[in-house]
Amino acid sequence: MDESELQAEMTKMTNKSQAYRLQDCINRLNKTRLKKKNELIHFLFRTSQLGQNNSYTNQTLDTLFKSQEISQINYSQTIPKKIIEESPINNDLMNIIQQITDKGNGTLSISEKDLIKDLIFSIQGIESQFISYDPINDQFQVKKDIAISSASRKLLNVMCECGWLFKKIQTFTQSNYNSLVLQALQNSIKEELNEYYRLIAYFENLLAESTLTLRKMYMWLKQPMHHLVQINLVLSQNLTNVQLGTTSSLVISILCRYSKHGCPQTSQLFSRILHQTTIPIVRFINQWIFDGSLNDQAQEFFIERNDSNKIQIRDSGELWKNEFKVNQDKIPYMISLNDSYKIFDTGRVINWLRKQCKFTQFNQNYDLITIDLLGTEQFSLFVDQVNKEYNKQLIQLIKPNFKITLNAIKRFLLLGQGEFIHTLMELLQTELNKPAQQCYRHTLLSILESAFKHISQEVRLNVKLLEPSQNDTGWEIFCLDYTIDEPLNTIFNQKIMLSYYRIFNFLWRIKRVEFTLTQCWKMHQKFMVIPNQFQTIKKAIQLSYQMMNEMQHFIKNFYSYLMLEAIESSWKKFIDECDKIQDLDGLIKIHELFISDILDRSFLNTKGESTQKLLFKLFDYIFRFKSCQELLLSYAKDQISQTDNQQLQLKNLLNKQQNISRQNQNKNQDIIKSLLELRKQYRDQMFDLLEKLKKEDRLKFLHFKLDFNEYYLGIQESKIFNQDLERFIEKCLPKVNEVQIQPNRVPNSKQIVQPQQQQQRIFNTNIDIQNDLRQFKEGLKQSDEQRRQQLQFKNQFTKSPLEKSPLIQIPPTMTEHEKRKNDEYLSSSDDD
Amino acid sequence: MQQNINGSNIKSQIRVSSLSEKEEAQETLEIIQEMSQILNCGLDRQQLAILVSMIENGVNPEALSLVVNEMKTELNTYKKIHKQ
Repeated sequence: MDESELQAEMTKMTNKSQAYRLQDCINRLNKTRLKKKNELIHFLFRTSQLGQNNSYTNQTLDTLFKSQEISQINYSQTIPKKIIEESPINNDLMNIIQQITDKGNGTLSISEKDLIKDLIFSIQGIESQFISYDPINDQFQVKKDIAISSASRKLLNVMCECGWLFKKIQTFTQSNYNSLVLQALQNSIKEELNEYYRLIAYFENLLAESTLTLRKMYMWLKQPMHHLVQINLVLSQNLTNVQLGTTSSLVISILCRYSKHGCPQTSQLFSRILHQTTIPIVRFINQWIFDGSLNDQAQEFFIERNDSNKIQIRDSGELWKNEFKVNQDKIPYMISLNDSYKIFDTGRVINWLRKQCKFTQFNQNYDLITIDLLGTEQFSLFVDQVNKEYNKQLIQLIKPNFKITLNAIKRFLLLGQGEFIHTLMELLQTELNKPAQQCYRHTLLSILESAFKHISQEVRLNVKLLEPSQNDTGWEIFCLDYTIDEPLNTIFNQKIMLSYYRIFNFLWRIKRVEFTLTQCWKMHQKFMVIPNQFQTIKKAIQLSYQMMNEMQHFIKNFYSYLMLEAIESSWKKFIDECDKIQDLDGLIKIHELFISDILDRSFLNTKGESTQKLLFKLFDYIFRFKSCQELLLSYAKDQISQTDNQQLQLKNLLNKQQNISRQNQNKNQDIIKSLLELRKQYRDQMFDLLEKLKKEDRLKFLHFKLDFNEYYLGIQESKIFNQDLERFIEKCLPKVNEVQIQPNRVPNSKQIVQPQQQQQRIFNTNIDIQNDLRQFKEGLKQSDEQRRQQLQFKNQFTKSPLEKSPLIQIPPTMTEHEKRKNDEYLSSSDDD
Repeated sequence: MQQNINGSNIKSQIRVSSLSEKEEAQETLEIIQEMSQILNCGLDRQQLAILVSMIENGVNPEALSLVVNEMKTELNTYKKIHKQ
């Protein structure tokens, strides 16, 4: 068919040979391996300059195209109007080609102008005649039954994407948000869209002039589309996170990162938007730093008011810490964590000053923060500066009051003012000796006020009564209290005051013990001179006197350790640090450190609990000793007064006297026994305490003070010897010499002498054993001499530990006369 | 003449099957040259080679033809001016 048609055509040609040749060439061409043969043919026909032969070229083209596969021709450009207009001859051909290539209804002829009009609507997100919104695919699309070239269809669809983006952005800008930052964002995006509207107006202008083509629009729309895409990206990131509730900081962080985009246009776009959106945040910061106020309805600022019900206005110690807090999720990207804390601190200081100290004058010498400052280093420097200035003001305000209060607390709660405490104790002792339930606050208070008269200043002291438990006297529940006013409440809060009370309690106890011991001493003074008849009584009194001295030595040293090492050293450290601090938090911290230090050194914390128990037991024994001594001294008094009478009635009541004297002796023995029992227990406790003190390094000094001549150490070792002689000799041979000092001891060690007497009595029953005994005694005497030589040797090195006794008025070294006396005493016991 | 055509057809067929690539390309170019001569395009060998390669690479022939015509007219006017 084709061949015949071709032939028919060719016969019409004027130049038949040419036609044949052409046909031939085409045939040959088809056998080559060119891909785009049809295009090539088309091209050649187009460039041909056979002007006269246009008619047949059309015909040939016609036939050619009929014979070939037409659909292989791929036009990707619309036919420009010019050519359509200027080449009317080609018009039919072009139409044919168009009709063949376009899909759809060929009868509907749509001009480009219509399409452009519709496109202008669709890029504003509005549906139009030929472009509709396809909800399934969520895009704007040219209607499918319209005949336009696929090229233009594609182009149109691409530009409709613009419309889709625009619609999305518009939904964002038109929704209502509480948050100020989001509102600012909406505004800035609206401003950016103004550019877009301008472009559309320009398009309409051009359309009116009919110089607008689809291609032109495409080129013009490229940049705005890019911007729209970016904005849409940012918005989508924000809106997906709305549920998290942290939109504003997220928005700003994302914008901040995008403003550092590589493409300069995008970065400019976003820095413009960022500029607008951070205005509310900057406003918040300015308000907070310079005014301390917080007007944040949508809760976007990273500092928020802590609205828990626990905080009451009364409990102002908590105000400083808990009124405001930083919400770390809401800190925007540009503000570092340090800076945000400094900002928080500054506002907190202002608020606190205003509330607690009623201080309203603030320096406003600083410029407000601007947005440009926000991302730069200068911002942190600025914030730092403002912070420091406000903190300095705060410290200046607080410091004088603080120092006064601190000094007062030291004088009274930490027993700094000695004479006041002493007079107080004297006045209170009768009241406090009553059982706890009978102590009333008003009586104690009145006594306290009378004590005040001894001091010239007026002091804000109060009496606080603790919870009494069973068997408590007034002593245990008494506590001094210092009233503290508003601003210093934050530093001296409840917890800290509790620890102060604990320290006071402890010190008060020790003072009480000291007080009782001085009372004992007073009692003693009456009995310093006793007639020599009452040897037993005298010895008992001496014994009790020595015990009292021992206890006094302990208490005095312990108390001085507490006051000096525990309190004063910590105090000095604290005062030194006080001058260096720059803000309230630091002040609170070092104050707490100071108190914990004291608690630590005075065994009041959990670590020193066992030591504390020991100490309390020791105090207990001292109190018992006092009662014991009272008994002894009253008995002694009775005795002395009685014997005066007895001498007169001597002749009459001989028998009775003997009975009485025996009774008296028994009673004497009882008292002495109880005293010795007490001493034994007391010394046991001392040993334990000293053991404990040995273990810790910093308590070495205390240990040394309490046992500077190793008296207790010697007793411990001698005790072991007394219980088991042979075992001790086995254990440590070189110490045998020292041990034999025992018989030469001061006459108060009756306990040690008596069992030896008993032993020797048992030996004497057996003659054999008597020989052994004699040898033993000789050995003792020899070793005794050796021991004396050793002691002399030791004395050169000023170390004679076991010879010295505790601080008493009996001379520490025995004279030769006394030594001989002791020997005689020992040898005389053999005769029993 | 038909015989001629037929003969040339057979010849060309035989030729196509036995030629290497280079020679194939040359052959193609010759054909195209003939066609352009018949149609009086006014393009010489080099130009044709370029244009054919452009079309093979996907350039729109319509546009290309327009461009070529434009260039020709410009060239003519330029030559006229230069001559004067």
